[in-house]
Amino acid sequence: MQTATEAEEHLRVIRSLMEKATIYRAVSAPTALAGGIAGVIVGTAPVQGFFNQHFPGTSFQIRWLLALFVTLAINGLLILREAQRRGDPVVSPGMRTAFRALLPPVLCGGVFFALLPGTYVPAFLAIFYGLGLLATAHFAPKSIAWLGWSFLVAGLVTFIFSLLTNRLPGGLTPDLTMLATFGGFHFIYAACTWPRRASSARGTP
Amino acid sequence: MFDFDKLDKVIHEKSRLGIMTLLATRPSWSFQDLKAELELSDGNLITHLRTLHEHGYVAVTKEVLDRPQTSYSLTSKGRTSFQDYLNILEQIVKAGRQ
Repeated sequence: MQTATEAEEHLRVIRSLMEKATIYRAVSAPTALAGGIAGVIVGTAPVQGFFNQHFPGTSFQIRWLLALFVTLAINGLLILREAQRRGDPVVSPGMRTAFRALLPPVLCGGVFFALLPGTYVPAFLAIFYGLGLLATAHFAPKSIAWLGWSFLVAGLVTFIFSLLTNRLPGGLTPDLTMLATFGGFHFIYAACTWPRRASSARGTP
Repeated sequence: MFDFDKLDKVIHEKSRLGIMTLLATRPSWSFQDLKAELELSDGNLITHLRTLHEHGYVAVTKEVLDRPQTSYSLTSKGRTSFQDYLNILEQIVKAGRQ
């Protein structure tokens, strides 16, 4: 080691290796479970009826935004608790990287969600959510990539079907399509990743 | 002028620096994961891990899960030495900028 430039190069290599090695899971198993449950609740007939009565015309958007906020709030609490347990900062470098990757597709999903008619909303939300998850794939576990591909493929199939027939696959309503994708996929993801999560927690000193 | 002899020569070797860096990111790493991440041959990786272990920087755990697996982690001495190494690198950079 002779110069400051060489020292800088070493520090850059160390930083790059550390970032590459740090796996960040943007959707944890408990968050996925919470998302699935929130989806089921806002999709049920009594809740639909309540919102249809009080928010005619925008009931669908408001209910699913509510499900999103509840899921995000639970996710925030879980992240906070985990950060406190480890003694790490709440906003970790991994979280910042994930946020940067997720922002563009999530922004697009939000605009489409607000402006499109109900028939196309489930397809575009699934497409952009899937793209968002896939944008984190290079520093996330493989299960996140699988979840991303599931949403992307389901969203594209739903969109093409809607475009050709002007209705949703299987004659489903937008609510049932959201339940099948956002509810169903998250339940499956939680069921598949929860055992691994438990075993890794047992192995942590 | 900075005293470059302060740099820990055990850690300073490129492959061992990579190993120490990865071990600093998680509680433990399996041999296979280290090998895949650093793209080193079995022999090379074993040699460097042995050197780090002999200096008390790395702890080795052998266990049988589905199959026998060896995992490696930083000891507290290793973590402190790595942190010291990083601090010295930073001082060199700062000294170079002045």
